[in-house]
Amino acid sequence: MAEPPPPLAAAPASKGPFACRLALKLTHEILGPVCEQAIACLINHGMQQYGELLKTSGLPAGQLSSAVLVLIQHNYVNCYLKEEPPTLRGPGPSYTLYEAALPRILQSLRVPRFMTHISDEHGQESVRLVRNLTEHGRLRWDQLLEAVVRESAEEGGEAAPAPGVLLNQFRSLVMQRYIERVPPCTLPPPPQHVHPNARKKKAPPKPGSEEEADMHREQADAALRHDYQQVRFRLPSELMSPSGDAVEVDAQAKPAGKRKRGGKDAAAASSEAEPAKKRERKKAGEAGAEGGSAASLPAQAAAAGDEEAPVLWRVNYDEFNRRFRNDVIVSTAKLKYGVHAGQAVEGLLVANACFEQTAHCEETVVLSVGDVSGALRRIHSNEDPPDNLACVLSDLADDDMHFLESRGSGPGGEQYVLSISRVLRFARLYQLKGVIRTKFGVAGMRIWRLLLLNGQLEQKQVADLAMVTKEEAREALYAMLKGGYLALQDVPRTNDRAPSRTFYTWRANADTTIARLTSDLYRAAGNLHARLEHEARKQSELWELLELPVAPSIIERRQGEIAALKAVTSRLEAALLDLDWQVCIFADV
Amino acid sequence: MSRKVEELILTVCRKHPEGVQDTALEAELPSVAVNDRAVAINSLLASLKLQILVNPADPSSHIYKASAVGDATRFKGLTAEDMLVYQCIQGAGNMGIWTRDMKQRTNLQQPKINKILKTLEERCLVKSIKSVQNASRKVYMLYELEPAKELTGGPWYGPDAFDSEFITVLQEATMSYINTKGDATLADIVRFIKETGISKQALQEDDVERIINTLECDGKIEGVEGDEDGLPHYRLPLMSIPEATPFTSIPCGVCPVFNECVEGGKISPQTCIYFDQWLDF
Repeated sequence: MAEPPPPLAAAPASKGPFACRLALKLTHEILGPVCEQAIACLINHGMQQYGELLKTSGLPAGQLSSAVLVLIQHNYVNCYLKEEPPTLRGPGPSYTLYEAALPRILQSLRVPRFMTHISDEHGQESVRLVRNLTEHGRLRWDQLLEAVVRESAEEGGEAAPAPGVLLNQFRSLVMQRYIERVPPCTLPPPPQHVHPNARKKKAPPKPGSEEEADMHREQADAALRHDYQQVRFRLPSELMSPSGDAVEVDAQAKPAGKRKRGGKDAAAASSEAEPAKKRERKKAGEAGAEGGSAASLPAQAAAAGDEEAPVLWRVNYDEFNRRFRNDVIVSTAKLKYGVHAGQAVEGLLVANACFEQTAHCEETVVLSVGDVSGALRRIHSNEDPPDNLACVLSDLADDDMHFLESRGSGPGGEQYVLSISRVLRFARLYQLKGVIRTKFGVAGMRIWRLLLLNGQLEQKQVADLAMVTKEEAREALYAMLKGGYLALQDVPRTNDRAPSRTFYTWRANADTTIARLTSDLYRAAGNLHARLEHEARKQSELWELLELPVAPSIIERRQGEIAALKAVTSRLEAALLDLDWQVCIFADV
Repeated sequence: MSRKVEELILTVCRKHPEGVQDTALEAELPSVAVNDRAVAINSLLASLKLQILVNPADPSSHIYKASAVGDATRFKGLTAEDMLVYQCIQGAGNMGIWTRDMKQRTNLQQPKINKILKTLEERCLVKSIKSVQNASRKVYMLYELEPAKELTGGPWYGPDAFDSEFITVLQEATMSYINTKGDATLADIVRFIKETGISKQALQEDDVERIINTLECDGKIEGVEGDEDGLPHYRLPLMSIPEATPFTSIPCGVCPVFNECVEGGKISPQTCIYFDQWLDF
């Protein structure tokens, strides 16, 4: 499988000040003030080494190291191994870089939705697994199993699920990419994406030059990232065995495909008895004896190392986002073109699922009518797909919106590519129009759409085209300008830039407005969170009363207050979850 | 003799309704001496049977034009300056002329022009119109002329200002027609509006198209290309704009001071009165 394309440059709003503010609030709430301080430092200064972090955070070394460990455990911080190029004196130094995983922190708001999704799709055992993994951040399989069993025992209601059942559920979750291996801390830092306007055409590097060495290093880094992608959703052999026992050391030591039939039992017996270091030396000797090339040795050693090292697992938020994205796309197609088109688009997305590794995908792969109908049959329990599927797909491809593009015909019939980015843009614009109409009135939305269609217009032209009075137009235009939904440009007729001799033109840009709304969404989420905190603090005494064992008469006496507090917090929490759904559409897919 | 020359000059002028130059008069009446011609022209101008105008082809020269029948009665008692202003207004046609432009063209002082305009308005020779393009400018045109569309703003303007109510009525009528028919072309809607007689003025296709465009921008209707005729057909949208979104369902989504809200500031989520109202069960 090829390495997936780098995700599209995240919208600036998802890394903007309001997103950072929300991330800090969430970190404070979940992990406490010390972790918040460490994250704040990483957000403010970007990727840092531990020494730099120590200097800039101002935290005592002990506290900081504990905070970083907690943050890494909860996947709030990404670690990378940066290796400097070798010098004449020998190999270059290597050090670990730390980076705040901002999207992951922000998406912790979405965890209740993840749980609902898992509950609907996979049942309660899977919910337990995902919940425990989310709460603990990253765990080995045995740790996860123990946590789930302990949780079930504490709840006491139902009998604890059997380990075999849980293992099956776990396997299923990994295979469906809900759970992934934690990326190793030896991965190189992600490549820096240069803005398309800043890209320069470079000549191929000269042999032996520094540029060529840089290029080779970049290729090696890409290969390491690719290696991780290869094993990201691969179950280790210990979890593939029917019993799930983790004691079959030989199965861990070597991939099954490379094992020699004759020596299997003997090797297993000897490796069980030998210490790990000796086993490694022996393996290296065997590989040399088998005539393995020098180049393949490090790869084999790495593979062996991977298998031997305990595998840590974490919840893959991106897969949830990908599925939520698909829901949005299908519902948009259904609303716009009807039920049959919605079904056809659903089929396209399901057929494409095995080819994509991230929620940030521009378009699907080329898919035929046969692929779509097969996918539909699969998800609808072998029910026949609609008869007019080919016709529906053809109509969609002919539509002016160009959601679907025809790519000729192949063995499975006509072939198509679905433009995911176009459908999502349409869905975002749909939401945006609703926001503008509620925020700035019908006249505001009319004006915004007219400006979007006509480009730049003067105030008089706007009033004329929108058929509203000049006063109404001016009011709506300035309100939208203040909100950041429109832009105003001055075109002076004279050098003194006198306002009386200047044209003022208005314009609307869909992408800028979407970015602005995304930023507003983060800001509103931050405000809701702040208010929730404030309400909880205001009634802290009442919360304590609810948590502590007190006489029922006291609770009864304050029943009204408790009900009011619960109503307030429920409304705020529900609003925060609803808002997060919109954030998901605008920022995370 | 003088009366005869006057008759001859008037005959020549009536033959040239666009106006005639002095050289042309001389050529047409070779038998009339220059002095006799001058006396006759002065007499005709004094009795308002003849008008003297700037030659539009050559502004340095002037032309003579015979007055229409009855003009003499209408213009009786007007001075030469009054007539100059009148002619200036007449030249502007149905677009009208602003007093400042009049001042430039006639070289008269503003108070004098104001006084003349008052006289002309009293005698129903000219009228003043408010331009929709410049509400502060009052333009003058001949009393009998209909103001141009650019000046009045077309059917969308009432006597004083923009007629929002009329537009709303038209939008509602168009919506109800599309709603009833399910699918309508521009020509259908124009016909419907004409038949119902909602508008006193006859609305053209481009007028109705503007109404349709506003409805389309409001998301109330959508245009699709017709299968048979290839013309745009208007119908109710399959995907209407959402009434509410999660963002606008909370106070922050519609807050007028959202941009000024800062934690610890004068306006903050903790002290927000809109949150107080929203959370008041």
